[in-house]
Amino acid sequence: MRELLKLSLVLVIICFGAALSLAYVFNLTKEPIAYQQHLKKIRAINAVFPAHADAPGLTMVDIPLCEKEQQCRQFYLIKNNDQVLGTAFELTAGGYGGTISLMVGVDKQQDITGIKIINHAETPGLGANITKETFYTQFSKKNLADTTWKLKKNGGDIDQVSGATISSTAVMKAVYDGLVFYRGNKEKILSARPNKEG
Amino acid sequence: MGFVHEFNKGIIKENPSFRLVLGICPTLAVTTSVENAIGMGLAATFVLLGSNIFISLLRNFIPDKVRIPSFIVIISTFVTITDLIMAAYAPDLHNALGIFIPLIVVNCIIMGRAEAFASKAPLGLSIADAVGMGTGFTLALVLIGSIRELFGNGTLLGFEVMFAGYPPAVIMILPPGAFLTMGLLLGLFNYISRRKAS
Repeated sequence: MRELLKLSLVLVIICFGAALSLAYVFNLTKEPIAYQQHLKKIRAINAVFPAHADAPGLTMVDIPLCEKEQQCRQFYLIKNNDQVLGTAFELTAGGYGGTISLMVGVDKQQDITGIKIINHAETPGLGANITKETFYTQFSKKNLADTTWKLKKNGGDIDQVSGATISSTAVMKAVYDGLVFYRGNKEKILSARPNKEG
Repeated sequence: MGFVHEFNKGIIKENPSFRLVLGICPTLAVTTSVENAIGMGLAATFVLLGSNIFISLLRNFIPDKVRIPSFIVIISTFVTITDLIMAAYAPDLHNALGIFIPLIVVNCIIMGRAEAFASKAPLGLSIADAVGMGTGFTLALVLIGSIRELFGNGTLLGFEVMFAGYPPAVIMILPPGAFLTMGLLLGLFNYISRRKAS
């Protein structure tokens, strides 16, 4: 009995020490981590919407839109005073090695201004080549009206990464679905009120 | 049983990957490129050093019967702290290593050294052991990573090194390439050590 008590006590002390130090480090790093994530988002928006990077005085409106419950999409409306320049939004795609998350920018005419892969877990040397310029820059200027959203080998307009049909299709389909969703909710997004400066 | 001996043994004689054959899961999974190999090796070395220091200091406090849960708590605390601090102050490195940091918890080299060495040895020797084992692990990962990146992608650390027009053997980057490389290197190490012994 006495031994049991001693063993339990040692474990409690160790876990207590671990919890204390974790709580301390968590508090210490909470703000820097939030700031880094904010920076990452801004950098992604700048990459897909060059006009935002050039004019830091622009307003950015965060608009969460929910299709179904727990399936929200985050939109960033980019405005110069009251004039809407365009919208950036985050998308996710089911890739070969896991979820691919990307940022897409569109201008007023609903043409794509650029896309950027934020996170992915595709095969290095194959699917991971979706992060190469030759793949993602082809989406610029594409839109719903004039583009056939199929891979070239299926008679479409999208060049695929060689050896990575699944990754290429996943990105293409996510961008397409994003554009369709954007078109369907355009009024709601464009009329949103600013909630914070970005 | 000096510091130099404890450091040296981890490099070749008791190399964690090729002689002890510990921590094979991360070894096979992350060695698709030299860059990943270096990152994983350094992160694991850092955690190994931290856990060896704490376990060596607490070795007279922790009763034998609850040593395994105590070690696990200490190791996972250290991994989480490393993860948080990297996310806050070295975001680029954290991005590159993202999934590998939590993976360190299940790396049995850390547990193995805690159990086999740090729980019985004084602080100085435990530090030498951690640095030696960490270096050996890092070198092993870099060796496997170099072979796989060179043949699978024609590059080393991202630089083109193969002759122009070299067709990359993509299988080397895929999981089978990891097993092939690991098997051949294990065989080579066994051959060398057997010849030395006889």
